[in-house]
Amino acid sequence: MCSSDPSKVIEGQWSELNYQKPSVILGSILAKNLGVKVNDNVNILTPDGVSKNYTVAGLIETSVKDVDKSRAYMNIGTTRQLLGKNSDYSSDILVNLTDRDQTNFVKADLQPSIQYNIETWQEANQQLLAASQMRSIIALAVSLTILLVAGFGIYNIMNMTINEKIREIAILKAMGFSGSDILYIFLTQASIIGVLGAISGLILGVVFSMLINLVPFKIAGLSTLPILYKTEDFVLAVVFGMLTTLLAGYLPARKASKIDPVVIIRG
Amino acid sequence: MNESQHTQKALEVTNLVKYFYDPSPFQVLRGVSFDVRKGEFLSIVGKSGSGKSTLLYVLSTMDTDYEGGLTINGERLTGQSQNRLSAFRNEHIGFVFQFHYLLPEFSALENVMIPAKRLGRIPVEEIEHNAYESLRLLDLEDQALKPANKLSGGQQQRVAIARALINRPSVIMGDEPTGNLDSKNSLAVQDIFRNLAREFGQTIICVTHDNDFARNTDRTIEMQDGLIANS
Repeated sequence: MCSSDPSKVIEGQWSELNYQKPSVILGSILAKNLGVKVNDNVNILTPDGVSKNYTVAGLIETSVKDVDKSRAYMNIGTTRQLLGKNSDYSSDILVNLTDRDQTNFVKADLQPSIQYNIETWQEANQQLLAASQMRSIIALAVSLTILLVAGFGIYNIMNMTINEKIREIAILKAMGFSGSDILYIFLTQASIIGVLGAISGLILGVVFSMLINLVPFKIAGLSTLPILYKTEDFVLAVVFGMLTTLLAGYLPARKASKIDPVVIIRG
Repeated sequence: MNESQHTQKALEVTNLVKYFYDPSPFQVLRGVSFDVRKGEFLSIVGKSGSGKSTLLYVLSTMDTDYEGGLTINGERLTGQSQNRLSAFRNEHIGFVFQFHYLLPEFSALENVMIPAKRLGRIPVEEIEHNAYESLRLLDLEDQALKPANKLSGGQQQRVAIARALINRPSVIMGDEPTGNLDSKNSLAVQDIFRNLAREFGQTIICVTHDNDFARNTDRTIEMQDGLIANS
């Protein structure tokens, strides 16, 4: 996660670091804890015992607490001088990719020609990644649970319908309808429920997503709750909805197809 | 029996044996054999528990749990698959039950059409025309479009008869068809069956406990303890 984003500077100017050389940009919580504002002076003490004054040229807020209360930015030349290092010295090089999922490929590409250790953001933030994966798994589990509940609902409806119509099924069989005819009739009913459910669910889902997208949420540079509309998500939802319906409807339909008309008719 | 006499038989059973197992093994049919000529109106009578209804349901091809032989229209049905039996039943057997058992939300006309739609041999418009004609012959043309659950008991039973006839079956089988009707409707149904047999040459087999009904048929078989009392 690269936080040297000029757009996150909430006071002062990022470019000031280049002009007024002895200047520093502080994380917003760090500044608050030190009790300083823009244009105040701070004193920096290095482990070697060197002490220098710098002017606060701006404040930065990434909304990640750990960053905002511990990080400060200075011009690289100024920093090298403070630490008594040569003009080609740096301790870390941060590389920002346009596609954050390509890190492993880029690392594989670069590693052969670089003798330093290359660490991807996923490796550096295992906890964050684990938490993100956890959330995805939970979201999936919730979706599957909802499908399960819907499936039970349909199973229930189909069972009830078939029980109510058991005499009619027996009559149809007496007239020469085969078991597979009966199966087909009730699978058709289940499919209709599935299609209607999927379509109305799709429409309601889009409408509710749009409404949620309007809810204000002023954190981390967002203004409202973010919604990502991916076609494949909608397609998957419809497919799984219909599959669940067919599965749930199949068992009752099969039961209906196997009833013995003689038993029903003779009572 | 020579060849021509064989083909005059609408239905033939040989040595039918059947057991019930609940609550304990009980032989309900003990070796029943008889045949029915084409155009014959046969009634099967007997006391409760004599096996007459059980016999009928074996004849209907709906009950396949028996030993012995069943042949209808020259085709041996014993041992055939459920699918073949369903298809045969659809085309060759018309069934009339004691309770009319129509599909309640469908109209009389639609109820009559169902077996023909399942058979799928002729276009729907033609089926509809035939169904309407059927209802007209039974004096029900005014009720054709009414939902079945809005008809009287006698009307529903006549619709059921029209439904049983729609595919011009080889045999009509009835399980106490007048059992649930008052005397007026009962007589009307008896007349219908008799006309079907006499004027249209329809083979009819009816189980009944109504002796008046039985007297008006061509032949009566009496069942007693799983056997025919008089053949």
